[in-house]
Amino acid sequence: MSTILFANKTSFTDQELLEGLLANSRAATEFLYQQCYPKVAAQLRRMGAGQEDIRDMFQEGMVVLWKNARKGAYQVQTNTRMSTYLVQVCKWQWSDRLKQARTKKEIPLQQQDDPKTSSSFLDQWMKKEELDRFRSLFAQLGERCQDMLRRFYFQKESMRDIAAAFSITDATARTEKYRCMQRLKQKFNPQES
Amino acid sequence: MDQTQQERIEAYLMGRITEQDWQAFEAKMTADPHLLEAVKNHRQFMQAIEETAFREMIQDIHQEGNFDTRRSIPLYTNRRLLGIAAAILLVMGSIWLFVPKQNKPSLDPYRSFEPDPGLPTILGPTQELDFWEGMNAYKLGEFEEANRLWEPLLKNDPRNDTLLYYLGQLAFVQRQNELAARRLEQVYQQESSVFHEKASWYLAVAKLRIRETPDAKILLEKIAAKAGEFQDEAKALLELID
Repeated sequence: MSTILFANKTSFTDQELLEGLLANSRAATEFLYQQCYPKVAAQLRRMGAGQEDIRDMFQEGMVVLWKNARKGAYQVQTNTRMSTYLVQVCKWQWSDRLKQARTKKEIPLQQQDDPKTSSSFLDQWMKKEELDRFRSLFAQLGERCQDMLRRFYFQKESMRDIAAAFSITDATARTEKYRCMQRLKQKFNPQES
Repeated sequence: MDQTQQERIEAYLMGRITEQDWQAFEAKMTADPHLLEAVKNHRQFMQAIEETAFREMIQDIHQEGNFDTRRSIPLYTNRRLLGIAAAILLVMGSIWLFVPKQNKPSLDPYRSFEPDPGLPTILGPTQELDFWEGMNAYKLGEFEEANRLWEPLLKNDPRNDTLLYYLGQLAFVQRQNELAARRLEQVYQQESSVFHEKASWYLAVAKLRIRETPDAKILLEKIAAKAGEFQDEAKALLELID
């Protein structure tokens, strides 16, 4: 039940926020979001970003922080707050997007790298385009399957808790979760099924 | 992949096995490339589900928080226009500053004006954000905003050389030379400060501007006497003063 970690807290230290991110805690994520979004919005507006750009950049920044926390690339520091780190990440991302927009204008389309061939499968697969495809396939699974997979892989609930939530036996829950994952894999890689 | 194999892989990937089983699984993976491939593939799916769920969660938080209708700071009516005006003022100011004045040398005391964005600071964690916001404003030429953010920090930590140096720079670029000299003097007195050398140069120029020429000369002689970033310019300036 990791997403309810810190559920009743109203204030967090950076260490608690890091632990919360690692545990996919909604309370910690929400606190960070509320604390940092206005600051990022103010900074990016000054740099010419519109409302949608700000939301995109901020959410991408949150994902970068979340991923870096998992990889150990982000660690709590005594002289830099997590919020400062996040604000900087969002600003760099916005600067990168501006640079990319300029570069794309300058380089003819046929000379640009083909993202399908220019990086490793894993990197490519995890890129946003692929993730978007994954998300749309995930959404096709149906509510029950999605909920089950989310609870197990994201909220890290035990199979016993999941079974209780669905009012089924442990064995049925395990089989159902297995089938949901298989269906997802088949949708994503139909040629392998 | 059957259910049992998937559950074993998940137990391994999620750290839900004993140390002994973990080692046995690692050994099995080394010996079986198909198993290794299956583990990699399953890990990718697990990561993608987690990322998808995380993105959904922050999307929910955004929608529930009505962030798109909020404004964190008072917004001016036309930021684009203000930006253009600020840019024009900056360009005009720079041109005016760089034009040689009568017999004065064509020195460029502003060439190190652009701050280093990766600047190490000794500020405490609760003050970092305001400092960097101020730094950003400073680089964008929003000097009043930088001043507004940095002044309270200096009140809390009046001997902080980073703040004194950049507030000194703010005063310097705005031609508040007495204030600049006062602040830079405090940095100059801190010989161990990383800003000591730069502060001595800008202090010398500020003192020249407020006609404290003998003091400026002493500073310039010190700068000219040892190898450093401003040595040549200090020598050139001394020749003109003499």
